[in-house]
Amino acid sequence: MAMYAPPIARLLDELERLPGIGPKSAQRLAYYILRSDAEVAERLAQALVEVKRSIHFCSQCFNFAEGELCEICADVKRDPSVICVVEEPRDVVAIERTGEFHGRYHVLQGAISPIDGIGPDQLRMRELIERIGTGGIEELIVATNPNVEGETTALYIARLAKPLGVRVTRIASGLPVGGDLEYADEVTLGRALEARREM
Amino acid sequence: MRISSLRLSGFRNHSERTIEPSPGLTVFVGPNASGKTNALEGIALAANGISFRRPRWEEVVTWGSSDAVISLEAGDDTTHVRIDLHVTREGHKELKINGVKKRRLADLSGLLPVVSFIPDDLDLVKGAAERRRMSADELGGQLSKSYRAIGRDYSRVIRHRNMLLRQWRPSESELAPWTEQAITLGAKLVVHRRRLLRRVIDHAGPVYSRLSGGETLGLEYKDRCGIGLTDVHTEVSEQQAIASLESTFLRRREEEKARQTTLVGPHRDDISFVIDGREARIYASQGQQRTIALAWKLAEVNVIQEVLNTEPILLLDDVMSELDAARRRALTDLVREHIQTFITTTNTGYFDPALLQDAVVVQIGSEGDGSPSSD
Repeated sequence: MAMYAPPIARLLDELERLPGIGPKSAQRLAYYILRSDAEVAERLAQALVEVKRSIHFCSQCFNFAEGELCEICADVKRDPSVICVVEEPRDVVAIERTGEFHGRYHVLQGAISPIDGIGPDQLRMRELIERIGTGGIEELIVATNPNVEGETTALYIARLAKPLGVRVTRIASGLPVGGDLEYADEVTLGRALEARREM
Repeated sequence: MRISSLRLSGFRNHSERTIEPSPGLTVFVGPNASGKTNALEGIALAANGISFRRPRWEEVVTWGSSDAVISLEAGDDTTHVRIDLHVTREGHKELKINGVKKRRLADLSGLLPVVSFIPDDLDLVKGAAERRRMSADELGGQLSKSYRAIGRDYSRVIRHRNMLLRQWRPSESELAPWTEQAITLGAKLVVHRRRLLRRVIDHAGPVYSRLSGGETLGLEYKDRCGIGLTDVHTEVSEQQAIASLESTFLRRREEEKARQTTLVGPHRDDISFVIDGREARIYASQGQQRTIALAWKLAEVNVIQEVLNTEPILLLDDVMSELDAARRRALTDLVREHIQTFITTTNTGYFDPALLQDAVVVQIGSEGDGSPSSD
Protein backbone atom coordinates (compact mmCIF):
# COMPACT_ATOMS: atom_id res chain seq x y z
CA MET A 1 0.00 0.00 0.00
CA ALA A 2 1.44 3.34 -1.04
CA MET A 3 0.85 5.93 1.67
CA TYR A 4 2.24 8.80 -0.37
CA ALA A 5 2.13 9.76 -4.02
CA PRO A 6 5.56 8.92 -5.50
CA PRO A 7 6.85 12.54 -5.68
CA ILE A 8 6.03 13.08 -2.00
CA ALA A 9 7.65 9.79 -1.07
CA ARG A 10 10.77 10.87 -2.94
CA LEU A 11 10.88 14.22 -1.14
CA LEU A 12 10.43 12.51 2.24
CA ASP A 13 13.17 10.10 1.36
CA GLU A 14 15.60 12.94 0.55
CA LEU A 15 14.68 14.96 3.64
CA GLU A 16 15.19 11.99 5.93
CA ARG A 17 18.77 11.68 4.72
CA LEU A 18 19.56 15.04 6.32
CA PRO A 19 21.20 15.00 9.75
CA GLY A 20 18.81 15.45 12.63
CA ILE A 21 15.75 14.83 10.48
CA GLY A 22 13.65 11.78 11.35
CA PRO A 23 10.45 10.56 9.67
CA LYS A 24 8.23 12.97 11.61
CA SER A 25 10.30 16.09 10.92
CA ALA A 26 10.58 15.05 7.27
CA GLN A 27 6.82 14.81 7.07
CA ARG A 28 6.36 18.19 8.70
CA LEU A 29 8.81 19.84 6.30
CA ALA A 30 7.29 18.13 3.27
CA TYR A 31 3.77 19.24 4.19
CA TYR A 32 4.97 22.76 4.81
CA ILE A 33 6.50 22.86 1.35
CA LEU A 34 3.39 21.34 -0.24
CA ARG A 35 1.14 23.92 1.36
CA SER A 36 3.42 26.85 0.49
CA ASP A 37 3.47 28.84 -2.75
CA ALA A 38 5.47 27.37 -5.60
CA GLU A 39 7.84 30.30 -5.14
CA VAL A 40 8.93 29.08 -1.69
CA ALA A 41 9.90 25.68 -3.08
CA GLU A 42 11.75 27.27 -5.97
CA ARG A 43 13.73 29.61 -3.73
CA LEU A 44 14.71 26.65 -1.54
CA ALA A 45 15.69 24.52 -4.53
CA GLN A 46 17.71 27.36 -6.01
CA ALA A 47 19.48 28.05 -2.73
CA LEU A 48 20.46 24.39 -2.49
CA VAL A 49 21.81 24.23 -6.04
CA GLU A 50 23.52 27.59 -5.73
CA VAL A 51 25.33 26.76 -2.49
CA LYS A 52 26.80 23.60 -3.95
CA ARG A 53 27.75 25.33 -7.21
CA SER A 54 29.35 28.44 -5.80
CA ILE A 55 30.88 27.46 -2.45
CA HIS A 56 34.24 25.80 -2.20
CA PHE A 57 37.14 25.99 0.25
CA CYS A 58 39.14 29.18 0.77
CA SER A 59 42.57 28.58 -0.73
CA GLN A 60 44.26 30.06 2.33
CA CYS A 61 42.30 28.99 5.42
CA PHE A 62 40.02 26.22 4.05
CA ASN A 63 36.88 27.76 5.43
CA PHE A 64 33.91 27.84 3.07
CA ALA A 65 34.32 30.60 0.53
CA GLU A 66 32.51 32.00 -2.45
CA GLY A 67 35.58 33.45 -4.12
CA GLU A 68 39.21 32.33 -4.14
CA LEU A 69 39.56 33.66 -0.59
CA CYS A 70 36.91 33.64 2.11
CA GLU A 71 35.61 36.97 3.41
CA ILE A 72 37.85 36.86 6.46
CA CYS A 73 41.06 36.12 4.56
CA ALA A 74 40.12 38.80 2.01
CA ASP A 75 39.49 41.39 4.73
CA VAL A 76 42.63 43.56 4.95
CA LYS A 77 41.57 44.86 8.36
CA ARG A 78 42.06 41.43 9.93
CA ASP A 79 45.37 40.87 11.71
CA PRO A 80 47.42 38.48 9.58
CA SER A 81 49.92 37.74 12.37
CA VAL A 82 47.47 35.75 14.53
CA ILE A 83 45.82 32.57 13.30
CA CYS A 84 43.11 30.71 15.13
CA VAL A 85 43.22 27.00 14.26
CA VAL A 86 39.85 25.23 14.37
CA GLU A 87 38.50 21.84 13.34
CA GLU A 88 35.41 22.78 11.32
CA PRO A 89 33.94 25.78 9.47
CA ARG A 90 31.17 25.94 12.07
CA ASP A 91 33.84 26.63 14.72
CA VAL A 92 34.80 29.78 12.79
CA VAL A 93 31.21 30.94 13.12
CA ALA A 94 31.26 30.27 16.87
CA ILE A 95 34.42 32.30 17.42
CA GLU A 96 33.32 35.12 15.09
CA ARG A 97 30.16 35.45 17.15
CA THR A 98 32.25 36.37 20.19
CA GLY A 99 33.52 39.46 18.38
CA GLU A 100 36.74 39.09 20.38
CA PHE A 101 39.02 37.74 17.68
CA HIS A 102 40.43 39.91 14.93
CA GLY A 103 42.98 37.60 13.36
CA ARG A 104 42.49 35.00 10.69
CA TYR A 105 41.63 31.31 10.77
CA HIS A 106 42.87 27.97 9.64
CA VAL A 107 40.27 25.21 9.29
CA LEU A 108 41.83 21.76 9.66
CA GLN A 109 38.65 20.01 8.52
CA GLY A 110 38.79 17.54 11.36
CA ALA A 111 41.02 16.28 14.16
CA ILE A 112 43.65 13.58 14.34
CA SER A 113 41.89 10.29 15.04
CA PRO A 114 43.72 7.06 14.14
CA ILE A 115 40.67 4.94 15.02
CA ASP A 116 38.80 6.71 12.22
CA GLY A 117 41.77 6.55 9.87
CA ILE A 118 42.53 10.26 10.18
CA GLY A 119 46.14 11.32 10.52
CA PRO A 120 47.80 14.71 9.92
CA ASP A 121 47.95 13.99 6.17
CA GLN A 122 44.16 13.71 6.00
CA LEU A 123 43.85 17.20 7.50
CA ARG A 124 44.96 20.65 6.27
CA MET A 125 48.07 20.34 8.42
CA ARG A 126 50.69 20.63 5.68
CA GLU A 127 48.92 23.77 4.43
CA LEU A 128 49.12 25.25 7.94
CA ILE A 129 52.87 24.66 8.09
CA GLU A 130 53.26 26.18 4.63
CA ARG A 131 51.31 29.22 5.79
CA ILE A 132 53.69 29.64 8.71
CA GLY A 133 56.58 29.21 6.30
CA THR A 134 55.50 32.21 4.25
CA GLY A 135 56.26 34.36 7.30
CA GLY A 136 54.48 37.12 9.17
CA ILE A 137 52.69 34.79 11.58
CA GLU A 138 53.49 35.36 15.25
CA GLU A 139 50.86 33.41 17.14
CA LEU A 140 48.71 30.33 16.61
CA ILE A 141 45.69 30.08 18.89
CA VAL A 142 44.69 26.43 18.85
CA ALA A 143 40.93 26.15 19.34
CA THR A 144 40.36 22.49 18.58
CA ASN A 145 37.71 20.69 20.64
CA PRO A 146 38.50 19.92 24.31
CA ASN A 147 38.25 16.14 23.77
CA VAL A 148 40.97 13.53 23.38
CA GLU A 149 41.29 13.98 19.61
CA GLY A 150 41.23 17.78 19.75
CA GLU A 151 43.84 17.89 22.55
CA THR A 152 46.13 15.54 20.65
CA THR A 153 45.76 17.62 17.49
CA ALA A 154 46.68 20.70 19.55
CA LEU A 155 49.79 18.96 20.91
CA TYR A 156 50.79 17.90 17.39
CA ILE A 157 50.47 21.48 16.13
CA ALA A 158 52.45 22.84 19.07
CA ARG A 159 55.31 20.43 18.43
CA LEU A 160 55.37 21.35 14.77
CA ALA A 161 54.97 25.10 15.03
CA LYS A 162 57.13 26.00 18.03
CA PRO A 163 60.44 25.13 16.32
CA LEU A 164 59.38 27.52 13.55
CA GLY A 165 59.48 30.37 16.06
CA VAL A 166 55.72 30.81 16.39
CA ARG A 167 54.02 31.34 19.72
CA VAL A 168 51.41 28.60 20.22
CA THR A 169 48.55 29.09 22.69
CA ARG A 170 45.56 26.94 23.55
CA ILE A 171 42.14 28.35 24.39
CA ALA A 172 41.17 27.71 27.98
CA SER A 173 38.26 25.43 28.57
CA GLY A 174 36.33 25.79 31.72
CA LEU A 175 33.50 27.59 33.31
CA PRO A 176 30.82 29.24 31.25
CA VAL A 177 30.44 32.92 32.11
CA GLY A 178 27.52 33.55 34.40
CA GLY A 179 27.68 30.00 35.68
CA ASP A 180 27.86 29.44 39.40
CA LEU A 181 30.80 27.43 40.71
CA GLU A 182 28.36 25.40 42.74
CA TYR A 183 26.65 24.07 39.65
CA ALA A 184 29.71 23.39 37.52
CA ASP A 185 30.48 19.72 37.11
CA GLU A 186 33.75 18.46 38.55
CA VAL A 187 35.34 17.81 35.18
CA THR A 188 34.76 21.35 33.94
CA LEU A 189 35.82 22.79 37.25
CA GLY A 190 38.95 20.63 37.20
CA ARG A 191 39.89 21.92 33.75
CA ALA A 192 39.22 25.48 34.81
CA LEU A 193 41.53 25.03 37.79
CA GLU A 194 44.27 23.57 35.65
CA ALA A 195 44.05 26.47 33.24
CA ARG A 196 44.10 29.12 35.98
CA ARG A 197 46.04 32.32 35.37
CA GLU A 198 48.04 34.79 37.38
CA MET A 199 46.18 37.89 38.59
CA MET B 1 18.61 6.87 48.55
CA ARG B 2 16.27 3.98 47.90
CA ILE B 3 14.48 2.94 44.77
CA SER B 4 10.73 3.15 45.19
CA SER B 5 9.71 2.14 41.70
CA LEU B 6 11.27 0.46 38.68
CA ARG B 7 9.66 0.24 35.28
CA LEU B 8 11.09 -1.84 32.44
CA SER B 9 9.57 -1.54 29.01
CA GLY B 10 10.89 -3.29 25.90
CA PHE B 11 13.97 -4.12 27.94
CA ARG B 12 15.46 -7.55 27.16
CA ASN B 13 12.72 -10.09 27.92
CA HIS B 14 10.57 -7.63 29.90
CA SER B 15 7.97 -6.24 27.53
CA GLU B 16 6.30 -4.21 30.28
CA ARG B 17 6.91 -4.60 33.96
CA THR B 18 6.65 -2.34 36.96
CA ILE B 19 8.19 -3.35 40.24
CA GLU B 20 7.75 -1.64 43.57
CA PRO B 21 10.65 -2.85 45.63
CA SER B 22 11.03 -2.98 49.35
CA PRO B 23 13.18 -0.34 51.01
CA GLY B 24 15.02 -3.33 52.49
CA LEU B 25 15.25 -6.62 50.65
CA THR B 26 13.67 -7.45 47.31
CA VAL B 27 14.06 -10.99 45.97
CA PHE B 28 13.55 -11.83 42.31
CA VAL B 29 12.58 -15.50 42.18
CA GLY B 30 12.19 -17.56 39.04
CA PRO B 31 13.61 -20.38 36.98
CA ASN B 32 16.76 -19.98 34.91
CA ALA B 33 16.47 -17.69 31.86
CA SER B 34 13.31 -16.08 33.19
CA GLY B 35 14.74 -12.56 33.30
CA LYS B 36 15.78 -12.13 36.91
CA THR B 37 19.24 -10.91 36.05
CA ASN B 38 17.77 -8.66 33.35
CA ALA B 39 15.79 -6.87 36.03
CA LEU B 40 18.97 -6.33 38.08
CA GLU B 41 20.74 -5.11 34.97
CA GLY B 42 17.95 -2.61 34.36
CA ILE B 43 18.57 -1.13 37.79
CA ALA B 44 22.34 -0.98 37.22
CA LEU B 45 21.95 0.73 33.83
CA ALA B 46 19.52 3.37 35.00
CA ALA B 47 21.42 4.02 38.21
CA ASN B 48 24.92 4.01 36.83
CA GLY B 49 24.87 4.02 33.02
CA ILE B 50 26.82 0.78 32.87
CA SER B 51 26.00 -2.75 33.90
CA PHE B 52 27.97 -5.78 35.02
CA ARG B 53 27.19 -7.35 31.62
CA ARG B 54 28.68 -4.46 29.63
CA PRO B 55 26.19 -4.88 26.81
CA ARG B 56 26.17 -3.17 23.46
CA TRP B 57 23.25 -0.78 23.78
CA GLU B 58 21.22 -2.17 20.89
CA GLU B 59 21.29 -5.59 22.62
CA VAL B 60 19.11 -4.45 25.50
CA VAL B 61 16.09 -3.65 23.34
CA THR B 62 13.52 -6.46 23.23
CA TRP B 63 13.47 -8.23 19.88
CA GLY B 64 10.65 -6.70 17.82
CA SER B 65 10.39 -3.62 20.02
CA SER B 66 11.50 -0.23 18.69
CA ASP B 67 13.00 0.96 21.95
CA ALA B 68 13.65 0.14 25.57
CA VAL B 69 12.75 2.35 28.50
CA ILE B 70 13.98 2.00 32.06
CA SER B 71 12.47 4.37 34.59
CA LEU B 72 13.55 4.58 38.18
CA GLU B 73 12.22 6.60 41.04
CA ALA B 74 14.31 6.93 44.12
CA GLY B 75 14.54 9.11 47.14
CA ASP B 76 15.24 9.59 50.79
CA ASP B 77 13.88 11.93 53.45
CA THR B 78 15.01 15.05 51.65
CA THR B 79 15.36 14.31 47.96
CA HIS B 80 13.48 12.64 45.20
CA VAL B 81 14.97 11.69 41.87
CA ARG B 82 13.50 10.27 38.73
CA ILE B 83 15.74 8.70 36.11
CA ASP B 84 14.51 7.83 32.62
CA LEU B 85 16.81 6.00 30.27
CA HIS B 86 15.58 5.50 26.76
CA VAL B 87 17.47 3.27 24.29
CA THR B 88 16.55 2.89 20.63
CA ARG B 89 17.05 -0.18 18.48
CA GLU B 90 19.96 1.66 16.81
CA GLY B 91 21.65 1.96 20.20
CA HIS B 92 21.00 5.70 20.69
CA LYS B 93 20.36 6.55 24.27
CA GLU B 94 18.71 9.43 25.98
CA LEU B 95 18.99 10.11 29.67
CA LYS B 96 16.69 12.31 31.68
CA ILE B 97 17.19 13.13 35.32
CA ASN B 98 14.07 14.63 36.88
CA GLY B 99 12.76 15.24 33.39
CA VAL B 100 15.83 17.22 32.32
CA LYS B 101 17.73 15.82 29.35
CA LYS B 102 21.40 15.06 30.07
CA ARG B 103 24.13 14.92 27.50
CA ARG B 104 26.17 12.17 29.11
CA LEU B 105 25.47 9.02 31.06
CA ALA B 106 28.37 10.15 33.26
CA ASP B 107 25.94 12.67 34.74
CA LEU B 108 24.60 9.73 36.74
CA SER B 109 27.89 9.45 38.65
CA GLY B 110 27.37 9.58 42.37
CA LEU B 111 23.60 10.03 42.17
CA LEU B 112 22.51 6.48 42.91
CA PRO B 113 25.62 4.40 43.54
CA VAL B 114 25.39 0.67 43.03
CA VAL B 115 27.41 -2.27 44.27
CA SER B 116 26.78 -5.39 42.20
CA PHE B 117 27.99 -8.87 42.97
CA ILE B 118 27.64 -11.49 40.25
CA PRO B 119 29.08 -15.02 39.93
CA ASP B 120 31.85 -13.71 37.61
CA ASP B 121 33.12 -11.55 40.48
CA LEU B 122 34.21 -14.73 42.23
CA ASP B 123 37.07 -14.79 39.68
CA LEU B 124 38.39 -11.53 41.11
CA VAL B 125 41.51 -13.15 42.57
CA LYS B 126 42.55 -15.56 39.83
CA GLY B 127 40.85 -14.05 36.78
CA ALA B 128 42.43 -11.69 34.25
CA ALA B 129 44.04 -8.49 35.53
CA GLU B 130 41.47 -6.52 33.53
CA ARG B 131 38.71 -7.70 35.88
CA ARG B 132 40.55 -6.27 38.88
CA ARG B 133 41.33 -2.98 37.12
CA MET B 134 37.72 -2.64 36.03
CA SER B 135 36.43 -3.39 39.51
CA ALA B 136 38.52 -0.51 40.80
CA ASP B 137 37.82 1.92 37.94
CA GLU B 138 34.07 1.33 37.91
CA LEU B 139 33.93 2.06 41.62
CA GLY B 140 36.07 5.16 41.07
CA GLY B 141 33.73 6.27 38.29
CA GLN B 142 30.79 6.12 40.67
CA LEU B 143 32.63 8.14 43.27
CA SER B 144 33.83 10.93 41.03
CA LYS B 145 33.03 12.29 37.60
CA SER B 146 36.69 13.24 37.17
CA TYR B 147 37.78 9.65 37.75
CA ARG B 148 35.22 8.52 35.20
CA ALA B 149 36.28 11.13 32.64
CA ILE B 150 39.97 10.36 33.10
CA GLY B 151 39.35 6.62 32.69
CA ARG B 152 37.23 7.17 29.59
CA ASP B 153 39.70 9.56 27.95
CA TYR B 154 42.69 7.42 28.85
CA SER B 155 41.26 4.28 27.26
CA ARG B 156 40.39 6.27 24.17
CA VAL B 157 43.97 7.54 23.94
CA ILE B 158 45.28 3.97 24.26
CA ARG B 159 42.91 2.75 21.53
CA HIS B 160 44.12 5.52 19.21
CA ARG B 161 47.75 4.91 20.06
CA ASN B 162 47.47 1.14 19.55
CA MET B 163 45.77 1.70 16.21
CA LEU B 164 48.57 4.05 15.23
CA LEU B 165 51.28 1.54 16.22
CA ARG B 166 49.54 -1.34 14.49
CA GLN B 167 48.33 0.22 11.26
CA TRP B 168 50.26 3.36 10.52
CA ARG B 169 54.00 2.76 11.05
CA PRO B 170 53.93 6.18 12.69
CA SER B 171 56.73 8.70 12.56
CA GLU B 172 58.06 9.99 15.87
CA SER B 173 56.18 13.25 15.38
CA GLU B 174 52.88 11.41 14.85
CA LEU B 175 53.34 9.20 17.88
CA ALA B 176 54.65 11.87 20.28
CA PRO B 177 51.35 13.71 20.99
CA TRP B 178 49.61 10.42 21.76
CA THR B 179 52.44 9.42 24.08
CA GLU B 180 52.19 12.79 25.81
CA GLN B 181 48.44 12.29 26.28
CA ALA B 182 48.97 8.73 27.54
CA ILE B 183 51.46 10.11 30.08
CA THR B 184 49.30 13.00 31.32
CA LEU B 185 46.10 10.98 31.62
CA GLY B 186 47.85 7.76 32.66
CA ALA B 187 49.58 9.55 35.55
CA LYS B 188 46.24 10.93 36.77
CA LEU B 189 44.62 7.51 36.47
CA VAL B 190 47.34 5.64 38.34
CA VAL B 191 47.40 8.19 41.16
CA HIS B 192 43.61 8.15 41.54
CA ARG B 193 43.48 4.38 41.31
CA ARG B 194 46.12 3.91 43.98
CA ARG B 195 44.29 6.27 46.34
CA LEU B 196 41.04 4.43 45.74
CA LEU B 197 42.64 1.03 46.33
CA ARG B 198 44.06 2.33 49.60
CA ARG B 199 40.52 3.04 50.76
CA VAL B 200 39.27 -0.33 49.49
CA ILE B 201 41.95 -2.42 51.19
CA ASP B 202 41.64 -0.46 54.44
CA HIS B 203 38.04 -1.69 54.59
CA ALA B 204 38.45 -5.08 52.90
CA GLY B 205 41.32 -6.11 55.22
CA PRO B 206 39.38 -6.06 58.51
CA VAL B 207 36.29 -7.59 56.83
CA TYR B 208 38.41 -10.42 55.47
CA SER B 209 40.01 -11.05 58.85
CA ARG B 210 36.62 -11.25 60.50
CA LEU B 211 35.19 -13.64 57.90
CA SER B 212 38.28 -15.85 57.80
CA GLY B 213 38.89 -16.06 61.51
CA GLY B 214 42.01 -13.96 61.75
CA GLU B 215 43.93 -14.26 58.48
CA THR B 216 45.31 -11.00 57.14
CA LEU B 217 44.59 -9.71 53.65
CA GLY B 218 46.94 -7.35 51.85
CA LEU B 219 47.00 -5.77 48.41
CA GLU B 220 49.90 -5.12 46.06
CA TYR B 221 49.76 -2.72 43.15
CA LYS B 222 51.98 -3.93 40.31
CA ASP B 223 52.30 -1.08 37.89
CA ARG B 224 53.63 -1.00 34.34
CA CYS B 225 54.28 2.72 34.65
CA GLY B 226 57.79 2.42 36.07
CA ILE B 227 56.73 3.55 39.55
CA GLY B 228 57.46 0.25 41.27
CA LEU B 229 55.81 0.99 44.62
CA THR B 230 53.50 -1.94 45.40
CA ASP B 231 52.17 -0.58 48.70
CA VAL B 232 49.22 1.69 47.91
CA HIS B 233 49.69 3.39 51.27
CA THR B 234 52.75 5.07 49.80
CA GLU B 235 51.44 8.24 48.19
CA VAL B 236 52.63 8.76 44.62
CA SER B 237 52.35 12.30 43.31
CA GLU B 238 51.19 13.10 39.81
CA GLN B 239 54.60 14.60 38.97
CA GLN B 240 56.29 11.43 40.16
CA ALA B 241 53.99 9.31 38.00
CA ILE B 242 54.60 11.56 34.99
CA ALA B 243 58.37 11.27 35.41
CA SER B 244 58.18 7.47 35.72
CA LEU B 245 55.92 7.14 32.70
CA GLU B 246 58.12 9.43 30.60
CA SER B 247 61.29 7.47 31.25
CA THR B 248 59.55 4.11 30.86
CA PHE B 249 58.01 5.08 27.52
CA LEU B 250 61.43 6.20 26.35
CA ARG B 251 63.08 2.99 27.48
CA ARG B 252 60.53 0.72 25.81
CA ARG B 253 60.10 2.70 22.61
CA GLU B 254 61.67 0.13 20.29
CA GLU B 255 59.86 -2.75 21.97
CA GLU B 256 56.53 -0.95 21.52
CA LYS B 257 57.22 -0.49 17.83
CA ALA B 258 58.15 -4.15 17.43
CA ARG B 259 55.11 -5.40 19.31
CA GLN B 260 52.87 -2.68 17.81
CA THR B 261 50.99 -1.94 20.98
CA THR B 262 51.16 0.32 24.04
CA LEU B 263 53.15 -1.56 26.68
CA VAL B 264 53.47 1.18 29.27
CA GLY B 265 50.71 2.61 31.43
CA PRO B 266 47.95 1.85 33.93
CA HIS B 267 45.92 -0.12 31.37
CA ARG B 268 48.44 -2.92 31.97
CA ASP B 269 48.79 -2.60 35.74
CA ASP B 270 47.75 -5.46 37.99
CA ILE B 271 46.41 -5.73 41.50
CA SER B 272 47.27 -8.79 43.51
CA PHE B 273 46.04 -10.02 46.86
CA VAL B 274 48.20 -11.43 49.61
CA ILE B 275 46.96 -13.66 52.44
CA ASP B 276 49.30 -13.89 55.42
CA GLY B 277 52.16 -12.84 53.18
CA ARG B 278 51.48 -15.38 50.42
CA GLU B 279 50.22 -14.48 46.98
CA ALA B 280 46.54 -15.38 46.80
CA ARG B 281 46.53 -15.92 43.04
CA ILE B 282 48.78 -18.93 43.55
CA TYR B 283 48.03 -20.19 47.03
CA ALA B 284 44.45 -19.24 47.92
CA SER B 285 41.85 -22.01 48.26
CA GLN B 286 38.43 -21.68 46.62
CA GLY B 287 36.98 -20.61 49.94
CA GLN B 288 39.65 -17.95 50.49
CA GLN B 289 39.15 -16.57 46.97
CA ARG B 290 35.44 -16.23 47.55
CA THR B 291 36.03 -14.52 50.84
CA ILE B 292 38.36 -12.01 49.17
CA ALA B 293 35.73 -11.29 46.49
CA LEU B 294 33.09 -10.84 49.17
CA ALA B 295 35.37 -8.64 51.31
CA TRP B 296 36.04 -6.46 48.24
CA LYS B 297 32.31 -5.97 47.64
CA LEU B 298 31.62 -5.17 51.27
CA ALA B 299 34.50 -2.69 51.12
CA GLU B 300 32.90 -1.07 48.05
CA VAL B 301 29.80 -0.47 50.17
CA ASN B 302 31.92 1.13 52.89
CA VAL B 303 33.93 3.30 50.50
CA ILE B 304 30.74 4.63 48.88
CA GLN B 305 29.32 5.44 52.32
CA GLU B 306 32.57 7.14 53.29
CA VAL B 307 33.11 9.19 50.13
CA LEU B 308 29.58 9.98 48.99
CA ASN B 309 27.98 9.93 52.39
CA THR B 310 25.09 7.87 51.06
CA GLU B 311 24.01 4.23 51.07
CA PRO B 312 24.60 2.32 47.84
CA ILE B 313 22.08 -0.06 46.35
CA LEU B 314 23.24 -3.65 46.50
CA LEU B 315 22.57 -5.95 43.54
CA LEU B 316 23.31 -9.63 44.14
CA ASP B 317 22.95 -11.93 41.17
CA ASP B 318 22.66 -15.57 42.12
CA VAL B 319 25.65 -15.48 44.43
CA MET B 320 23.89 -16.92 47.45
CA SER B 321 24.22 -20.46 46.11
CA GLU B 322 27.98 -19.89 45.76
CA LEU B 323 28.56 -18.87 49.37
CA ASP B 324 28.34 -20.77 52.62
CA ALA B 325 25.99 -19.78 55.44
CA ALA B 326 28.44 -17.52 57.27
CA ARG B 327 29.34 -15.55 54.15
CA ARG B 328 25.70 -15.32 53.07
CA ARG B 329 24.99 -13.81 56.45
CA ALA B 330 27.71 -11.19 55.95
CA LEU B 331 25.80 -10.03 52.89
CA THR B 332 22.30 -10.21 54.28
CA ASP B 333 23.46 -8.35 57.39
CA LEU B 334 23.75 -5.31 55.15
CA VAL B 335 19.99 -5.38 54.66
CA ARG B 336 19.64 -4.98 58.39
CA GLU B 337 22.03 -2.05 58.15
CA HIS B 338 19.49 -0.29 55.97
CA ILE B 339 21.03 -0.97 52.61
CA GLN B 340 18.47 -1.55 49.92
CA THR B 341 19.24 -4.93 48.41
CA PHE B 342 18.06 -6.80 45.34
CA ILE B 343 18.78 -10.51 45.07
CA THR B 344 18.04 -12.96 42.28
CA THR B 345 17.64 -16.61 43.12
CA THR B 346 16.06 -19.78 41.82
CA ASN B 347 15.37 -20.90 45.35
CA THR B 348 14.33 -18.84 48.36
CA GLY B 349 15.54 -21.74 50.54
CA TYR B 350 18.91 -19.99 50.80
CA PHE B 351 17.40 -17.24 52.90
CA ASP B 352 16.83 -16.85 56.54
CA PRO B 353 13.02 -17.02 56.97
CA ALA B 354 13.15 -14.05 59.33
CA LEU B 355 14.74 -11.96 56.62
CA LEU B 356 12.22 -13.08 54.00
CA GLN B 357 9.36 -12.04 56.22
CA ASP B 358 10.02 -8.36 55.59
CA ALA B 359 11.10 -8.83 51.99
CA VAL B 360 9.23 -8.14 48.79
CA VAL B 361 9.37 -11.33 46.74
CA VAL B 362 8.84 -10.78 43.04
CA GLN B 363 8.06 -13.80 40.88
CA ILE B 364 9.76 -13.51 37.52
CA GLY B 365 9.01 -15.90 34.68
CA SER B 366 6.01 -17.56 33.13
CA GLU B 367 3.80 -18.09 36.17
CA GLY B 368 4.00 -14.73 37.85
CA ASP B 369 4.81 -12.46 34.94
CA GLY B 370 3.11 -9.13 35.01
CA SER B 371 1.77 -9.46 38.52
CA PRO B 372 4.38 -9.06 41.21
CA SER B 373 3.30 -10.69 44.43
CA SER B 374 4.57 -9.37 47.66
CA ASP B 375 4.64 -11.44 50.79
